[in-house]
Amino acid sequence: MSKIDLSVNLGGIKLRNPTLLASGILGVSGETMKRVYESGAGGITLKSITNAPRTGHPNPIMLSTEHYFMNAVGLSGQGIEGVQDEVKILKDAGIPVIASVFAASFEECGEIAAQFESYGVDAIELNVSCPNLAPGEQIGVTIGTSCELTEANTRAVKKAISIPLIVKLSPNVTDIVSIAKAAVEAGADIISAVNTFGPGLKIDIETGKPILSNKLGGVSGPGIFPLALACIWKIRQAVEVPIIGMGGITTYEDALEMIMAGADAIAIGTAVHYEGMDVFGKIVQGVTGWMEQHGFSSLEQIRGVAHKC
Amino acid sequence: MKNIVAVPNTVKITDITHVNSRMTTIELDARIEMDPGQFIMLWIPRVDEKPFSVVAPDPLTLSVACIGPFTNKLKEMKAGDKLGWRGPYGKGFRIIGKKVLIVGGGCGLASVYHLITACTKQGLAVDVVAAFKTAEEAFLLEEIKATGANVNVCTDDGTEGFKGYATDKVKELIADKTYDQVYSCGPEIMMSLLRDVLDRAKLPYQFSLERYMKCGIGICDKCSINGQLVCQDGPVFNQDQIKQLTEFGKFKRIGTGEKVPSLPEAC
Repeated sequence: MSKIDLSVNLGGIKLRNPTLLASGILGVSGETMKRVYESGAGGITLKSITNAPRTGHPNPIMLSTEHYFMNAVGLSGQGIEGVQDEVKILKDAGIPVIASVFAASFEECGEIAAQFESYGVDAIELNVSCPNLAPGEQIGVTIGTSCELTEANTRAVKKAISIPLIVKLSPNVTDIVSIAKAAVEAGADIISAVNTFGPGLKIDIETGKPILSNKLGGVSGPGIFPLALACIWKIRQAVEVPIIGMGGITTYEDALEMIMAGADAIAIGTAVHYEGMDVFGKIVQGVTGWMEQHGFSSLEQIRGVAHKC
Repeated sequence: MKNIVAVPNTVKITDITHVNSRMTTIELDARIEMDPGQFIMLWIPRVDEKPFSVVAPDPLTLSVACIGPFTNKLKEMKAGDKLGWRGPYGKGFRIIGKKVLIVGGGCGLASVYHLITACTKQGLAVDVVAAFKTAEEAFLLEEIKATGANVNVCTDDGTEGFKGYATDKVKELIADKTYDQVYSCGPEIMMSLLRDVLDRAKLPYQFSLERYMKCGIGICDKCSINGQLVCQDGPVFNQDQIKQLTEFGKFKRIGTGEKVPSLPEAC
């Protein structure tokens, strides 16, 4: 049998393999997320949570074509209190858990992050990139398109916790590298990128009306993969901290490209729709088989190789 | 086969009938290939989108209990108005054996009607228990009789047929004869009592479960029951699966994802 080691030390978080469930896909029920881990994922990111429960937008909140997926969920979630039971299910099973957080103020963001730390999560992911906000909401991408706000939000959360802090970036900026650098300077231990592209729009031609209730929605799925890959490539050249690469990863070949572009771990979201919940196992198996065939034994041997040319 | 494309197909309503004060039947200018027990997502453009079971696939026909903002909006619609549908989604009923008992409670009868027609068409002996609160809420009874199934009507108040709960009628039926499979869709309190009756009688069963459902395509996790997604792993679960679903008859999730009791407090 193979002696392939896919384990990753992601800024102190030990993962059995580099695949993570991306935030916002499943991520509500502890038992569902446990099933995702059992189907092969190396770790789990919870759906973004704030203090109060949120219902999110009315339906449709998602749509899918063969090439791309679009969503505007509107950050629905049960709130920090209720999610404790879900985290417990995962931590009791020894599963690495990342909690994604956002809040109306930077201080509140820090408080929520600290509360998650008390629940025993392994890291905090600060969501400064959700594009599907209600008018006037000063959260998500409103922060992630500004170096100053990203820095301030990162700083506020960093000083509230002692576990690693991940900052998740939006690709919808003029220069993602400057935002990544601002986050790292403010104390981000890990960068994750990218959130959805866009926003995009889809119109029902029979009624002439936008399909998503929010009209506009973030675009994900196979079509965005090369765009996401280029973001990771650029961020890798600019910062030293570990990177979680994501955006359209659907096959094991995509996963390998992401690692070759410099990602330390990868996150999979929309592919759960295209390939089913066992996409994690399939990608891990595919990467293992490819490494075996090519005589590699650890991901270190291929990580970032695309930069050596 | 999984549906990769999830975009509403917008079509005209060809017929809309208000069956009684509660139920409205809507026929769409569409045909769909599906198993009995699968469901569709129905879109009222710029209003909302909700999951519904299908009464008949060709033409696509739904029977809807008009009890909330979305369904009351549906009730106001006219032939020629446009609705979007996508699907079918989920795992439907598996037809097993030669003698079956099908138990529909309230609007749950709409969900098992397609199964009744499929079973009778295949020549199975079909006994139906159709349970309602009161005679005024009864629907689909003539259509079910026309399939050749043997119908037992129950009402809680005795205004039509057997006076009592569906489970009381089922106990009577299974005392006299046996069934290869029992199917049900209805209020959770009815199905959780029925589960106990059928477990004691050691009869195999398949129930169609209901949970708050948002995306319908296995992404949002809102319909999770013990980690099983009602939209994809269900809505139909068999007796072995239901044994694992410890939240059944106890907890459900609401729109925010919070867990709340799934039965009325008095139960």
